[in-house]
Amino acid sequence: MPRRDASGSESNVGRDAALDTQWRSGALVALRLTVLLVLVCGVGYPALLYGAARLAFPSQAEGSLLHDQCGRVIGSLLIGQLFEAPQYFHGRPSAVAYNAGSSGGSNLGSTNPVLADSLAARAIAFREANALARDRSLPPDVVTASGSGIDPHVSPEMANLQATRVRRARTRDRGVSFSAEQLQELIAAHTLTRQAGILGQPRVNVLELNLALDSLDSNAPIHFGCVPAATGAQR
Amino acid sequence: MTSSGALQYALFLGAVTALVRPLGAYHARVFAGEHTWFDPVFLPLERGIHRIAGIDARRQMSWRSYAGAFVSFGGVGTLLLYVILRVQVWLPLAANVAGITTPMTPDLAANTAISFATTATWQAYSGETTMTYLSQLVGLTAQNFIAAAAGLAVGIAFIRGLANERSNSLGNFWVDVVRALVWVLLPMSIIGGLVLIWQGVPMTIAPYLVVTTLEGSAQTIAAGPVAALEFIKQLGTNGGGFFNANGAHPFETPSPLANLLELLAIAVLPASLPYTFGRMTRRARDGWVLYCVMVALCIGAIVVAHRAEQRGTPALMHATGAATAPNLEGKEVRFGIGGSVLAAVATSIGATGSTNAMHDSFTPLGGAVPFANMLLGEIAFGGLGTGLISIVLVAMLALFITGLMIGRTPEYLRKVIGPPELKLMMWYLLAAPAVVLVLTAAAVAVPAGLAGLKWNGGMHGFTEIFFAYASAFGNNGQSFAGQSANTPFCNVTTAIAMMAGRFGLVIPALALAGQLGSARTRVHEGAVPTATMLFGGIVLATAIVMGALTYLPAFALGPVSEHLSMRGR
Repeated sequence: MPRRDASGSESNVGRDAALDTQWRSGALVALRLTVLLVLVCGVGYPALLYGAARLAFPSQAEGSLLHDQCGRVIGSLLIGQLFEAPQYFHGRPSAVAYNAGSSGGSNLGSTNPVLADSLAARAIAFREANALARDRSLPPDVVTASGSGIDPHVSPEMANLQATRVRRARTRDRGVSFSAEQLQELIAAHTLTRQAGILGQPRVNVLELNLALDSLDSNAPIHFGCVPAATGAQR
Repeated sequence: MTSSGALQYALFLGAVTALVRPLGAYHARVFAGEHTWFDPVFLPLERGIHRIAGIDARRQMSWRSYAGAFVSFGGVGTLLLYVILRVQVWLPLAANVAGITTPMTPDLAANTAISFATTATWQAYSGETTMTYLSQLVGLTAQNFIAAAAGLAVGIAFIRGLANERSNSLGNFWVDVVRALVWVLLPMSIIGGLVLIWQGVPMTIAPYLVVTTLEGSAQTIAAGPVAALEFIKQLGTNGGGFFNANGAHPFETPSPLANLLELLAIAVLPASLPYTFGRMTRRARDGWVLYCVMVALCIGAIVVAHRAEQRGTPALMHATGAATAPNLEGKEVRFGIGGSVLAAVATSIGATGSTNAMHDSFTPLGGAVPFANMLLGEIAFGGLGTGLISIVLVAMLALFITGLMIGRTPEYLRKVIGPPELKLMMWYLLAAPAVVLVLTAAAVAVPAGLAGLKWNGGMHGFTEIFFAYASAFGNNGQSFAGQSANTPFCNVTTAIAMMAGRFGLVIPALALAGQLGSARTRVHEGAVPTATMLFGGIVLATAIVMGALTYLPAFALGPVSEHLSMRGR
């Protein structure tokens, strides 16, 4: 049987004079230790992480912000934005209208008739907006609200279903035409695969895709000519 | 089951299993005060903390003294957090104060303080609209560490009691807490926190940004020192998120890799404790048998939840017109069904309560899985320290039942389980239904209890309330979040459940450990062998049968009826 030091638990009935049997003997230690540990864990640890993050991953630490060439912040790579204009790819439905100051999902139960109604309404609206046949089957992210309300991604299927609409809207308004193949390629180029081939789902970052779209569209009058450049955050 | 989902589940369980032995052995060494590689750095730190806090490391504690220290430590932590929350708007590091809209009322502050001091981290509030940065760090992050360390300490003390022979000492609570922090939680959180930042979790103290989006509208982006809270919330099996959306928020879990890392953080420490248990009691096979029970429960939960979520609902199939419409309501595209189901299972069995999807919007059967995991007592892998206690108690109950069948006095680890031990076991096992079912019944009987049901009613509304008390008592903290929980009634009743679930279980567990530790071991011919897979099967069956006997009537009113009504249409 191995010997243990004083903080161990070796048998000591009848020989260990330092055995504490009072339930209330530790109140003062509790106070002092709590204050000390709050300082270590609540001040020291965050300060250490903060400093290390500044040095190693400054962009991610700030929230993976995207800047245009004038240095203005136009959003975060990780936070979805509300897109409603026809010339942009749209994100998923959101229970909080993409308010990144108050995240959340619908929290409607899966048998709640309110949810069934909104699923059906979203499907109809999406098919109409994208001129799809009424019985065209849709991927589930088209009709469902995300948990965060600011999901930055859609499935590649949902992006591809919008390509025709985006192409038409840009041709009509701006006099610049993307070919169908160009858009397909653009979506494919912005499709993230599973991490390590296993983790997560294939997905398209909608904000990033729309930024790329604007940067290729010479007539896009966005941000007074400032072409946005993504910072190097891991997605 | 889709292949990508199956691969993710296999990767998760494989990684957890691979870490059981090294981490379990590490715990055993750390808490026995044996040498580890990190001693040159950690020993001076430990000595410094002991000196400042006035800890006498040579003192040993009886179970009463140990429990008293645990309770006073929890009490002081709760009071300190309450004060911080109440005065947060006058303290520094409140750059986000403009975004704060929820008033920190006395009942909300008390509920939150109790919630974080008990590792429940039930959240009746939305993080980004309620907490200043200082509250998130000095208040909540610190409590995440401290309460987790206390839980781990109690788990170790419990094992010591079982390993002891004729000894009244369970160790020294203060020494164990400091060791849990310095040797385990802090170093792992530094590494884990940095990996999360690399993946995109922010660590900033700048005010919330207001940006002009590509379409020209204004968008407020809440961020903050998220990474500091994010990793320890998982590692400590706490679960309370920085944001309202918890792990679904892209700033909490930016990528599938971050998701896997966070889920591993939930599971690895509790999963390694059966090995620590086997090693400290010198009954390694008994430890592995308990681990196998845990894994079996985990796999069952994953299979049921995955099938339910992948199959979707009739409403979803109708809307999409697709033959299979996986239920993505309340889920994130980057995780899909696989990453969301894995998180739901890990967080519910791990007594953690962090979520990366809205469990309220799961299918009835999919949502029933995390619910059932909580009702079974969070035994696989369980809360940090407390999970091991729970599964050992279930194993003892299984021995008692088999002992009745064959007419022998039950024995575990060569200790007789006699009437005093049985009384303590019964207290432990009956406390959960007594608190959860009574509070649920009270809540559905009074208007104040039903007032929180804003979005969902009927069977699903009942499930929300039942779920809330099971989660609070289990110190889990996840919720069916459609329930508006920030009402005085809900704040007070869930606080009662959380206190009962923490102190009401730890004290009898320590008493049991003290009782068994002071007893003499004996070698008895014909005792039920406990280091066999057959016994593992009996433990598993006991857990399920006990849970079903206790909760099935109430459970049938909620998720079971909802599932049948959905499929029956």
